[in-house]
Amino acid sequence: VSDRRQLSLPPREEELVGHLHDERVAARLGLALGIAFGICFLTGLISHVIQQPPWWFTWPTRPVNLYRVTQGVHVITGIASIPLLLAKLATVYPRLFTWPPVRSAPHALERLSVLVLVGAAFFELITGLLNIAHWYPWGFFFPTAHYAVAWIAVGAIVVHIAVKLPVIRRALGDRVDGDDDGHDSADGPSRRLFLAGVGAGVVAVVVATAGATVPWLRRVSVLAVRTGEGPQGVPVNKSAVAAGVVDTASDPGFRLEVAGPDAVISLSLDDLRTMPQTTADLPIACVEGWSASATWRGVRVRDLVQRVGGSPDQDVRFVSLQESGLYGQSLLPALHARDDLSLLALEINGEVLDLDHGYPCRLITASRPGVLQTKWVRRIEVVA
Amino acid sequence: VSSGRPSTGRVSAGRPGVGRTLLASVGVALMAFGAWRVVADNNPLQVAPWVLGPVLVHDLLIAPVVLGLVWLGHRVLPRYSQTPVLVALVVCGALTAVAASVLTRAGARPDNPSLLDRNYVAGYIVALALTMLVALICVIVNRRRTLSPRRAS
Repeated sequence: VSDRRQLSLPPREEELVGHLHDERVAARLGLALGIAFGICFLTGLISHVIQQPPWWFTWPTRPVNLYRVTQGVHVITGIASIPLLLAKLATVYPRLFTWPPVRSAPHALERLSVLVLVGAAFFELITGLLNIAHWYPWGFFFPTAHYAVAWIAVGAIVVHIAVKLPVIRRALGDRVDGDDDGHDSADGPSRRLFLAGVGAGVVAVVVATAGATVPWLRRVSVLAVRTGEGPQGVPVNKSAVAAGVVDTASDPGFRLEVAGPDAVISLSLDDLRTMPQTTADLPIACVEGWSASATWRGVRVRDLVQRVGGSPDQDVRFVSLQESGLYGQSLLPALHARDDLSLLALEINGEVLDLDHGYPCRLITASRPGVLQTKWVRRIEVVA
Repeated sequence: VSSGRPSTGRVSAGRPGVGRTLLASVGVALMAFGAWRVVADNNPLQVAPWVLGPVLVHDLLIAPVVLGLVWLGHRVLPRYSQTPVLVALVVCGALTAVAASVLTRAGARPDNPSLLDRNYVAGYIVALALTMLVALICVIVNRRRTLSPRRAS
């Protein structure tokens, strides 16, 4: 008895793990993968527009953990997609050998779109995974390539859904373990158990990595890129050595320049310490998905802005001693610059900032990516 | 719509409707935007190998090997052990795919001990061992059930 629900088969395909190559399994994996990629894409887009805001975009200051959550979800859904994608490809693998390979122009286009879909999906997952482990075996710049190919992947998913919609509808409407041919349970692992196994794989990789951002998973996340430990109890993304600021940042003659419409002032570290100090519990949340909470203490940004005649409606630029790289400065939107919790921090967890945390002073704000929390600040400019 | 499959009658095999055409057009537009960003912000010659390379490695190497293993297990293993072994294979495969980037420690830097600060080899082995242990227990339980003369239900 031939199972009419089998996907198109190359020779003897039914013999080769018959029950896994089934449209009902493929459609369910596809649905899970589509949801994971969708969430991953939207959270990635959020991170992108926070870092390169278009004129219409504002990112709220509360809740303080907002970016920590969106970016944690971005990395977790990306990692969860790895077993989902591999399982999905396993279920549809026989279709690669469809004969004849190309039947018509639309069929050729459809196959091309699937190639683009699989290639772009692999690209996003592999580059994302290697980026969080700081491994760059390629020549391109990760953020721009990861961003560009994400649009291709999502577009290809939308095309794929449009092409497959009737099959998806039919397959999702049927029971996954329905036995229309009467003997499916006698022929190896059932489809439901295969899906459960993939679910177990998803849980395994998420638990093994999510501790980088979910504190209570730290002990069991054996594959997390970070334990959450570091100098003064907080991990570091770029060290003072890597940023090339060891000498300039530890110079006892350090002075902070603050420039505004009324004045340009120069403050020593002692000047900063004599200004009113504010304490704030804020997470440092990296674009790479890891995050850690800390207690920060320092001068409110808005107090510094006020001292040079700036208004609460003005954006503020922070320039680092770090001269190399793209992240040597950041622009703090006015909404954040006037926020109670936006600090030029001098202390972390009750101690003077470690050199690797941005000594002598660093920016820390609510709900923004770590790359914008400029360290080793040497100049603050109120932007007109 | 799908190749080689006899129509069930419930699925219209004919022309896609307006909705699907519209959806496909949206998808093509998104892809075009992405392609434009690839060309505008990146060197496409550097990006392309990382799009096509993984597909080739998967389709020509990983998939045949893994599906071959599944097929072999299907043929060789007693039925009561097939499901636990398949699930263990899926979980171990998933863990391996994710572990590859940290096991190599390629991104480690002497100036930043807070990065890649675990014993990943030990963690990976423990995770695989746990998975296999659970699978083994399932196999033993399944075997008892299968061989027991008083089968439940």
